[in-house]
Amino acid sequence: MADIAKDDELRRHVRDWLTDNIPPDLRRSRTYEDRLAVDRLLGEGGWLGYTWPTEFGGRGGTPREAIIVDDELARGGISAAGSPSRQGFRHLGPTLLVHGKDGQRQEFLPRIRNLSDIWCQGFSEPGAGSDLASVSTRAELVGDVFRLNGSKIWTTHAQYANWCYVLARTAPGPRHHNLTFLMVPMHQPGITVRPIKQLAGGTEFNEVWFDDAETSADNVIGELNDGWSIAVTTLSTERGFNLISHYRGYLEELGQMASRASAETDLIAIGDLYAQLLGIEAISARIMQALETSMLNDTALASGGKLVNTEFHQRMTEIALGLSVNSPGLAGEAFITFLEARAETIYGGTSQIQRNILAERVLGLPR
Amino acid sequence: MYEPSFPLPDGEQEIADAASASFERLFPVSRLAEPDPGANRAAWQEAGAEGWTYCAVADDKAEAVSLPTVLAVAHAAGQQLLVDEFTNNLVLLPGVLQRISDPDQRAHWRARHEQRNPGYLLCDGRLASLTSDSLSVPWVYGVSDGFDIYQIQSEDDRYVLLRWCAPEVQYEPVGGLALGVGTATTDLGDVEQAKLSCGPADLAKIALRAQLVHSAGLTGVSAEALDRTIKYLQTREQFGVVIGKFQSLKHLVADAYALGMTAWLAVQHAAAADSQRESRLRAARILAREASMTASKLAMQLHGGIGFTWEESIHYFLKTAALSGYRFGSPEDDRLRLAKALAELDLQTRGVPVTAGGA
Repeated sequence: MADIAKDDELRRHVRDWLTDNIPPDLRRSRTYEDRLAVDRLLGEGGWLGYTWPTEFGGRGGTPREAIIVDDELARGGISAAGSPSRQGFRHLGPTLLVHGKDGQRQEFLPRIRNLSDIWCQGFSEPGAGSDLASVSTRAELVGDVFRLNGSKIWTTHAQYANWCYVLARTAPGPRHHNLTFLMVPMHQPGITVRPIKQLAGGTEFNEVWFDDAETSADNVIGELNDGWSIAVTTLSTERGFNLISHYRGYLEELGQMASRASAETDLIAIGDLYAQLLGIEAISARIMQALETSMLNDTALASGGKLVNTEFHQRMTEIALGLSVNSPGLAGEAFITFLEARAETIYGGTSQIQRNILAERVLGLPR
Repeated sequence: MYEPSFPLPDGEQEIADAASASFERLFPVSRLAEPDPGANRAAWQEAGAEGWTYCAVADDKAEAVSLPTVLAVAHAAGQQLLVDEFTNNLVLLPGVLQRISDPDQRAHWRARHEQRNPGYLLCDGRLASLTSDSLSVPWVYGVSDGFDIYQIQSEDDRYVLLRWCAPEVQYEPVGGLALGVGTATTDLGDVEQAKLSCGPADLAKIALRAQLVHSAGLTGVSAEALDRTIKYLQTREQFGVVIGKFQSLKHLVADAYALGMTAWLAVQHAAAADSQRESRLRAARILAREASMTASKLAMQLHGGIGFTWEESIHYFLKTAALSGYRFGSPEDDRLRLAKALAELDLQTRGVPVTAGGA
């Protein structure tokens, strides 16, 4: 059973620290520069990589404590989405902790923590979205370097990143046994990045081309041709935490909608959303409990949680837009949020893929 | 069918498993095909003899099992479509009978309820409290011939429990379908009385507990309807393949499953909540009702024509979900109250409580 008093103490500590250290105008800013400034401050304060061992600059915190920190950051207007440090400390860092060699951990983890390195994720390709294992970017070992050719897409923050972790094909063998997980420096002649303008005007995503780009053979995480199992670890770090870290922000948005609404039909719609959100809170609580002892390995919770959470948020943004159309001060923000939420049921495994996973792997329906 | 759950307190999983197995054995869904009031009463007598009827009520002899365990058993009973009778006889009546002031009378009344005659309370659903000054209740849940009828009345600041022992009841089930939900009328002669030593807060607590247990039952209805549907999809062939291969059907099932999982976790989480408990209970009720309706409607649709027949049991799931789902109020009212509670929370706030109600 968790120690509630200790939880509260940590919450107060984070809140006080935020009040003293993060200027209010930076908190809800959407610009990359502002988010980077916030991440640097958080890094200096020791809030990034909270669960990492102290030898790598972390605090050795428990997953529960990390969730409380996330929750308080979201409450303070700093959401996990859009954070420049996210790929590094949320995804690659935990992957290195599980699969990295000692030298790789010593070299890369401190640089993730102090934001010397900004990472991006080179997984999706034009021909490999939902079917990630079919990536066709090739990496050929020539002497002691890998030479990469191919392209990646939807690569968040690639235009700012100086490193990319890449899933590349290194053998002709069967699916899932022909891929290698590589760390690749971005600033080299063989890499071209093209920002993709998205429907809401932002350019968070990019297309990345590798034309004889190189990386040292020392930069393989795990074994050659065993990259799929490493990628599965990386993907699993996205689950659970993402769900929980969004909950607080959604609750506050919905609370403001409820305060502004007066028509009974609007209130009924908001009440329904609140019921769904309290359901998501329950899923989060169960995930939090699971994370106390290990990484999340419950497929029903991971896929069901992702499905329920993203579908909920899209519905919420749609209703928020409907409620804001006659309020010029609110409509712009609501419209942008509504548009941006469209991506949530696509990235990180589409809703359709989550449904396939639930139906086939959890419920046993035939492929 | 696997469903994520919160772990039960130490040592209680075995109790939950044993109780669930008993209710499954004593109350199979097949009992609904040809209702037999005598057999039904005998099943309850056996549940009482095995110690389940009062397992949630602490007394001199035994510690009560925890609420999460009762919810787990209610979920299993719900899979047998034992939702309203279960709520009445494991939560409402034991909760109220345990508050009879006179120890001898309490023991006597409890013994009858536990060993001989299950029952139901006349006012427990649409009314905000368990009490009523009137006996003209148009809608009762968990009715079966030979059950005792109870009613709580307030006299000044005190409560009195009335009991009619197995009165003759003219029972008109909704739509003429025997599911234990409908209008009951009786001349209600030979009433007995017992003084209760409890206040409105105690009764409200029993009512809230009953609502949560009832919601757990509805999530059981949802789980079983879905489980039967999955088994059907795994065996039924059309176009030369089992129809469970069709992605359109898989996705419908996956959505219903995700909703059922959310509802079941919400029910369990509401039991553990220490803040905004009423909102969490209301949310659990909304989700449980929605999950049971969604799964049972889907079960009927995906079973095709056979699901629409009396001989296939799917119709009992739909009927139970549709009727029991309204037992403790309308969905619209729940949603409206939730929104108002949220607005209040927002305004108080940044009053979001410091602890986020973890398990």
